[in-house]
Amino acid sequence: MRPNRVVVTGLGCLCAAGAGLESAWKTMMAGRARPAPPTKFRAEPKRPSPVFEIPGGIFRRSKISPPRPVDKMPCLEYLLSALEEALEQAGLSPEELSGRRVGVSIGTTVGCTLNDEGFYAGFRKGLEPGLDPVERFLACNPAPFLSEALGLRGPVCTINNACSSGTDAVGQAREWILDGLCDLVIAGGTDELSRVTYLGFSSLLNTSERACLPFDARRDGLNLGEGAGVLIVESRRSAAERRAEVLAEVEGYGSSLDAYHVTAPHPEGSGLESALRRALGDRNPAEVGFVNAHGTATDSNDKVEGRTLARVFGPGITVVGTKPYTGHTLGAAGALEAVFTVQGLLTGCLPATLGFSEPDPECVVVPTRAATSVARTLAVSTSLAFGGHNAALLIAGPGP
Amino acid sequence: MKPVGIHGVGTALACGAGVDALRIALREGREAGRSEVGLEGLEDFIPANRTRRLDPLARMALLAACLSLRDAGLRPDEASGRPTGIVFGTALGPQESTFSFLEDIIGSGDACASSFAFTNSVHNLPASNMSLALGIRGPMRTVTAFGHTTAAALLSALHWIREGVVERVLLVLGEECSAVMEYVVRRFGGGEGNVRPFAPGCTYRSRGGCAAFVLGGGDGPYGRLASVEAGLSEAEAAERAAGSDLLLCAAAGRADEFNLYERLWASHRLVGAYSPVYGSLPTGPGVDLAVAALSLRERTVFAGPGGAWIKGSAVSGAEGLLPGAVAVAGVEGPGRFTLIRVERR
Repeated sequence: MRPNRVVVTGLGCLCAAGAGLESAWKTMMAGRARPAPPTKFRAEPKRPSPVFEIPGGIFRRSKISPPRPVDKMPCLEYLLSALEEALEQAGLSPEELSGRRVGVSIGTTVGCTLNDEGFYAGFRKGLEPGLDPVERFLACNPAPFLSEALGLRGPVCTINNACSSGTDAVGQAREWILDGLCDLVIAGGTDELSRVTYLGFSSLLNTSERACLPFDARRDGLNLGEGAGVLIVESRRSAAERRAEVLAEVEGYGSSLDAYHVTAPHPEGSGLESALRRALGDRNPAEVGFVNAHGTATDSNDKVEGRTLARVFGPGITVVGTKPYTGHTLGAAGALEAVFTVQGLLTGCLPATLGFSEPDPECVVVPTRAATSVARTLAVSTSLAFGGHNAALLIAGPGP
Repeated sequence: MKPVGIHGVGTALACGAGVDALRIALREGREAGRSEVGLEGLEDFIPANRTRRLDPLARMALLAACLSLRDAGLRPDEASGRPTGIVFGTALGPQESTFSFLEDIIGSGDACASSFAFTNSVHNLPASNMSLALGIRGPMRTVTAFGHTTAAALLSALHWIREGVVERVLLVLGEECSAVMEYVVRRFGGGEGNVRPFAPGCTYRSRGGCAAFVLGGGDGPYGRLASVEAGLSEAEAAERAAGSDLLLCAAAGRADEFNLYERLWASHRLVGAYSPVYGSLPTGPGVDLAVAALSLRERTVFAGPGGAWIKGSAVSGAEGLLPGAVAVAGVEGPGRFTLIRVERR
């Protein structure tokens, strides 16, 4: 056992399922979801698809004073909302973190991209557009923004590993603590719905015109979503010194490349298997009680992921897909799903994979059809990303 | 702690591709001027039919990566022979693809959104393309955090090697300079001419460029990474840099930089900023790391252009100094520094 174990002491989330973990979990356990056409922007894509928006006003405005306004940066609003919940649960206030060596590790995609249509439209017409959008882009990269807002002095990193960014951000937080770079890390992911990603995924023809159906034989694509997930990740020693309640342990992390295709996973899932084996370390796969799968509901993802999970953990492994409640939140997905994985370990229960009814033999695994009891010992959360990247977290329950 | 050495360096900069081009530019004091980053030579490593659809940032990153592998004595097809990871750092991401996607939807309508441009606009695609071209299947991380980018990327690489996750890491740091970014820099007050850090009327100019490193266990021909520290205060950075023979400041040429770096210089006889050679880059500390590595391998303090020396000069350095330790300092944000120390014994 490592002398410097890495534990979770706070959780926060904001997604279409709810503002705050309790609210979101309640929605999920009740099997409710309402994907709908986007209302925050107008778009006429090749393939319209419902999305999971966060309604304005459902989340609490953060008491953390940002160094600059965030009202035009939903990514940051969402992140601050989830952070406040996570800090509260961890028994920490922003004031007591200020000036300390606290790391910030955040995954995102939209939050670090200069894709302001109005600005670019002005530029291409030679109109010398104002630089407000550029200044926002420069000032609002999530991890530096948060570190500055809280006056922290630890390492800072925004990861853009596409759809696995949130998982990698938690993995990176674990690395920093193991390396002794800091004792506490604000780890997570955040992303907002935007016209650019909506049209982009539509152009790839991998969105569904109805609610997504992970691992179901009828699945035909994903739904986009938005949100943020935050985990307070710290060394066990730090948690003990603070007398903080340990919610879970980030026991392992693995990352790997397929080196196969830019947008399609390796058909044999070799990269995902490698990431899983790395995350498992010396653990026997049979010890794992459940997997919170990436489960986008695209044909290729679910087929490859399902087969690989069956090969590593056995075909009877309990698998849940939570994207029918949140949509695919891209850079936030891995973080939100890590939060849900910890919640599954804490409560010993998982929600149904909403909408699932027809098993697909090609996926091999069969996800939860109803609320399901699970062992509170060990769980895995997986992410597969553009670029042929795979990531996995091994999370242990708090133990006796 | 297990030492991590620099075993190969590859650069694709305005002064040319490869460390030899960088060395010549540093020796002769050639400034970046208006030169574009040359991407010729990629086909020497990877067949053209496999690279023709890469966007400029991906091409530049792949070229620098291949050059670093060659410098480490490896052919591209040998990159996957041992467990290898990829860390890619970029503050601005693939700009041409980002704006090409916007061009399509603004110019031709939503239904004309390009799946190709969208895919390539994702920041981790350059790393993915390196993986595809070189067959690398280890861990990958793309970091994008402006002034924090170089330190964060290095910390990932160090962890993976020291923990035995991989034997080596291909670390690539770079930026593409698009027409949009040229416009932005001009509007922010950047100059059209040469970069002049710390000088009265200092100027900065957006450039593209990549620096790549093959990092692995043990000392390399370029020495070893003695330390990588992030989030240091001014006083801490000055203290950590004090034991080095030479301090390189990754100054881009902005007016506010004098105040940011001034206290770091106090304990140094030799302080330089080579950005006139490579341009103003958010990932400038990565290029300075390449310069530091080259200085250590050659046991030379490069003359650089006239504006490169803040304290001392290459001439005074060459008279009495064969550098054994070089520090690279970069500003992360207000009052926060990255400090990278490289040593060669």
